[in-house]
Amino acid sequence: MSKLLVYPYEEELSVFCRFPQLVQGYDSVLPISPKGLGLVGQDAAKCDGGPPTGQIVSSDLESALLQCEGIFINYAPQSALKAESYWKALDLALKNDKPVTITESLRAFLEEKGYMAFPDSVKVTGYSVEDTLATVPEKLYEIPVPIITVLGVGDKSNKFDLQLGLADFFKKAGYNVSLLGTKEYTSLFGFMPLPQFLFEGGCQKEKILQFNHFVYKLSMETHPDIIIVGCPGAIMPNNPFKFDDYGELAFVIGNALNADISVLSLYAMSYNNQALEHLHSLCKYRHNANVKRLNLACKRMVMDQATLNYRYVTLNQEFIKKEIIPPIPAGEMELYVGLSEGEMDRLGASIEAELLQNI
Amino acid sequence: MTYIVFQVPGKLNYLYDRENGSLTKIEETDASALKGLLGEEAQQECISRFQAQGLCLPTKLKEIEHPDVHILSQLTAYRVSEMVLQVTQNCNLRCDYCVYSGSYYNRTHSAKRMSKETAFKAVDFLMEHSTDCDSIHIGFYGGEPLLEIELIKKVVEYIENEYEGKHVSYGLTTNATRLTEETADFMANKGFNLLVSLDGPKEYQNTQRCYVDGKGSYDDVLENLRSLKMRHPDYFDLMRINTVVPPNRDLKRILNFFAENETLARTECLVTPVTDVGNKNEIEYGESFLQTMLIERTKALLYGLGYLEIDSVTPSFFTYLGELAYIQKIITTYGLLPEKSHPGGPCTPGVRRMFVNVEGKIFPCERIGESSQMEIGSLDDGFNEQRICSMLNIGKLTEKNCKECWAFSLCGQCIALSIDGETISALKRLSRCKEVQGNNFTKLRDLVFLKENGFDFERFEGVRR
Repeated sequence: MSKLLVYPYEEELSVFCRFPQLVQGYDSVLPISPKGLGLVGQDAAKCDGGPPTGQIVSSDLESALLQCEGIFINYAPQSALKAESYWKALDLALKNDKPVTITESLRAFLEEKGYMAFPDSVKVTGYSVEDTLATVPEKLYEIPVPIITVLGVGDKSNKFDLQLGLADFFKKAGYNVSLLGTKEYTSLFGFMPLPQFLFEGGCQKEKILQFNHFVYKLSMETHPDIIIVGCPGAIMPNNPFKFDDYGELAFVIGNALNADISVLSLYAMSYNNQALEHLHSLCKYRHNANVKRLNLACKRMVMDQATLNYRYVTLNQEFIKKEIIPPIPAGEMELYVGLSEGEMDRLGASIEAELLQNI
Repeated sequence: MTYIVFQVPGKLNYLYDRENGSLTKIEETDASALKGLLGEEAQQECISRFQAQGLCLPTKLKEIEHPDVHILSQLTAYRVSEMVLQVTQNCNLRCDYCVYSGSYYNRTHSAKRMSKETAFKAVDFLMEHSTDCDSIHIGFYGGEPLLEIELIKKVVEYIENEYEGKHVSYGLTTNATRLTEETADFMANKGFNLLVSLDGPKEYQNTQRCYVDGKGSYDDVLENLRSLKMRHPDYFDLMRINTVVPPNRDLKRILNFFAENETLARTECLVTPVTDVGNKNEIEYGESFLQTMLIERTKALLYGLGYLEIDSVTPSFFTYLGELAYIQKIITTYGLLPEKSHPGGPCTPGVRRMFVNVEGKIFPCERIGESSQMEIGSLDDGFNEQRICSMLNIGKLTEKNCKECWAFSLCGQCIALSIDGETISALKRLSRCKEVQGNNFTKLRDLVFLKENGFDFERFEGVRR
């Protein structure tokens, strides 16, 4: 049984413990975390609010390196981990002859801090930079494959979990799935990350054309039965005190592709009719995404009244199902708690049924 | 009444409507009509006209309930962001207004100290309950916390060795009599937020803040501060002073002392009246104190508008501008008052901050006495969510009054202000309403005055006590 060590384990990497079956080349995952992140000794689910995984987080990197067949090191900028700590982990892994994969963000961070002597054996994963088409004609192709887009109201809204969950469902159902994931390390799950050009400067129109051509080329070359595309960031500003995301990427992706199905992931709180209608209209008219399925992430934004700063709090999926879902007047929209047992399959089945109806 | 009308210099009239959190300039005749000065018919006509514009609408508020109540278990599990450790109940001074002097419904000084085991357990507890917090803050408190400097060093060392990955900041309130060079070096190296208690002129300091044997502490404190400034000038600039001003003291003289003192002239000084929370006696401040506060606040306003240079203003009163900037932000951002809401003011006990006493019992903060009724848990048993919930929903005690109050969103009363003796009291909470409304009224007027004169609110955002 081959194991992939993931470090530093925290919420961002919870997908590895949620979807170990998708991790390419490995059977299971070893979550290792510095104690300061508050997860050591706890089930890996503590950080994402989902059902227990049975995986206990450890801080013993040295012992874990003896048990694993490979290591993935991510960059956790919100933590207080210094460059030395990341380098020490990398160095230790190399000394133990383990294949090491790091993200491009981590590579850039370490380089900035003066750690540049990366051996060739260290693999770097990130958004693909080769996928910029030099010139594209001003024409939008119709993509001849069903497309599912996954949008969210902001960071930590379980978008990547939904992307992987749907990919897993359709794969198990026998479909050839392409996923363009929102994370740098999407390739570790056997799928492609979004192209780098989406995250760079440049006009929206150019990006829309580029991305449309990129996806069309992908569909022509790999012939998937279904394409799942994650939309990074938010669909609109969600913090009245700090405007940091206007939904630019959701706009680009939505207008580049005519999605057949769109799933919107929300923070877990009470929504009334007016709010849901507003969200539906915003997705439809700004992002070209006709949302009929809503997911409640295991997260809520709460405001500290004293500082007026917004913070995230993890909500347990059972709590969400019991307390938050029932009063929401979803109407014709379907509501899911993606991290809850069986919900990804329910979502996938609903989408499959609708797509089959459209054939 | 869910709105209030007031006038500022220049005969400008404003309406603050709590239902939509708006602050609107109105005509003088409308102001008079709303106040009822032109008769009932004129008042009704004005209200109808304003309601057509979305102002003065009947309240939608039906029930007092804090929004955090429903996710309290999740907040206490994941979002505890600050802890204050009572490392000792002892002090080498005997300040006459101290909350532990026997004049308050609170414990008195004792020789009890926090053990290393309890301190480490508290750190473990905080780390386990702060998974959703990228950074946390640990404050050290007493008595005089520097009596336990070795324990403080051990706690910092424990965190650095065991808890890599978490941003941790530290703070300490001290009488500075034990601020030796070695301790000062440690504080500076670890970046402690330092708050020094110093009451101003030598005469005041030596009578109010003296050692157990009656000797004054002024010379020792000033010597230690001079040394700190010399050894760590940049760090010294970040230090703040807390000055407690009893009713019988001349505030102006205190402010002049700080302005003229060579060592402390640029230090931010927080002026604090003696707290009446839990005090066994009444505390009343005279006209002179109130007038000086008013003059200093006015100078701060004039500085904010560019009419006075920074040197003319006492630094501690910049926080008043920050308070006004905060209200301005609330007013421009908050939406409609929902059916269920809670007056502004209370933090979520245990989540915003948890105060751990020497025995490992948990309280909402150090301002609240350590009686068993105020306990919200322990390191061994965890949080008492039922107790936290009732403290959080403190507005339920005075629901009828709060629902009708124009200052609902601006209230600022927390549980500490509702304590009568050792219990939480609706009457005590209500007894403060007039003062709270008065303070908010003054702030609204000052805010409008600044707005009308082109004040840059963003410049002072975040500048608060």
